[in-house]
Amino acid sequence: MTPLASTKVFVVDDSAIVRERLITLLSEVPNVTITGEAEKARDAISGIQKARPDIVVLDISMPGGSGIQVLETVKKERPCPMVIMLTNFDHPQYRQRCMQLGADHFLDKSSNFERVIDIVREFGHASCPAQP
Amino acid sequence: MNTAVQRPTSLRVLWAEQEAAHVEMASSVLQRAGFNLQAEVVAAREAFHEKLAAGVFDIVISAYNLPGWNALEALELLRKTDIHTPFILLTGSLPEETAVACVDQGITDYVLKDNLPRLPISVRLALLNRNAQRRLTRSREQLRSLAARLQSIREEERSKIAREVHDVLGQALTGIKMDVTWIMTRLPDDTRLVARTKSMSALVDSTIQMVRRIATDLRPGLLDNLGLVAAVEWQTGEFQTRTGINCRLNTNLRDASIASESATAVFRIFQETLTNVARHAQATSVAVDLCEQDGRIVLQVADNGRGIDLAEVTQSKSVGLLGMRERATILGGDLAISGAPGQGTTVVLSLPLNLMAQGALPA
Repeated sequence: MTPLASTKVFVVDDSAIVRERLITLLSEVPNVTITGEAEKARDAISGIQKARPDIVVLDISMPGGSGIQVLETVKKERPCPMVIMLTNFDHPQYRQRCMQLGADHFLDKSSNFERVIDIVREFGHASCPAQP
Repeated sequence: MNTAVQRPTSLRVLWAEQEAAHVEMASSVLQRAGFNLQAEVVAAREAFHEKLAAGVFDIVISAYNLPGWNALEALELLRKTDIHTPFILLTGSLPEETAVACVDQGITDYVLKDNLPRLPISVRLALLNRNAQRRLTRSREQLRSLAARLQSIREEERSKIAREVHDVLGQALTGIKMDVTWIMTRLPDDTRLVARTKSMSALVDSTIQMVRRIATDLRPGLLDNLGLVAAVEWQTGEFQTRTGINCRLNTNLRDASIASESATAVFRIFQETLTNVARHAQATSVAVDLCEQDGRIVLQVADNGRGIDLAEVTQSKSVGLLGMRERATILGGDLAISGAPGQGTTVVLSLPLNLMAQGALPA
């Protein structure tokens, strides 16, 4: 039986409090590996290019540039990762811009963060269908 | 006995006159009155124009009739280059309507050639007036710079506080919310404990919403993260929701990367305009146009309310209107407000379209 390939996740958020909790929550999902984290836009881009994750969890507001710029850059990579925008900016204009730039999901950080776990779990299942 | 000797006043004159004898007589009157004269005398229009372009003069003295042109044309040429240099008409008698036309056009004074003793007094008064005008202009420029600086500091402070509130306080609350949610999924079957934790979670939610609202009121992150159009779009929707006044936006500015200070000015003027609509207009609908026209950003806000009284605009008692105008002027723009009773009010802001440096990131 071949071992299940793990889902590689990269977490980008300028708040250490939020990063720590997200990583804790994601680490509890089976077959998930946290391949990196970043708190600044520039570090996020270089980190993601190096770690080549399957999924990026991405905040918008960050020092030294915004998550929107990270999204734009990351989505030009081939293969490009799935990007889950997780933000406290809940105006529809953000959702619209992020979706235009190729974001796969747009979630409100405080009321919808648990969806991240569901999405990561679903991604793992889709990549590695259950063995007969 | 007063022993002080009055030093002669240096006076650089550009003199438009074709009669040398008239210049000579008037010059000697000025010299006797204590002026140290350096006069450039010309008769032709072209020569006058050349002297104006090449030299610096304290005053222009001109006869009315000149060969092929006249004093009003001389005044027009002078005002194209300098708004403060006095212009004294030194002439024989003129028809009353011509004299009135000269005053209307803005000559500084009018001295008759047969009353030359009045010329030095007229010159002294004109110079005093010029100096006062220059000081006034300088003082206005300084006030404008100060206002611009205060405006900019205020905006920086608001941005800083908004970021602190949103990023620090908001993120900490989000962390708490994540923890509360984590706890909720692991609680034992204790109804009271579950109810209290849910209530705590709801309280955290409402506090997060409050924090977001405070930060957005201070400075909407949309303006920095997504740009002017998104911010105006959001403000339009927010205004409609808050006031019930129908507000429609039309724009062709979607892809422009506008310099941060211009974007901020347009956005703040837009906010102030909407505040005025809500407070005074008694409108039921507002049409907003944000467009690029001939290298300028043009924002037009037209409401269907009671219509502003033009006296309200010209009296400028409203600090809000004054602030809007100043904000536009500082960036080389202008603001026009028009309206008529029962026909609504229209505010048009026009600013040069200063684009961000290539590759620059929004603030």
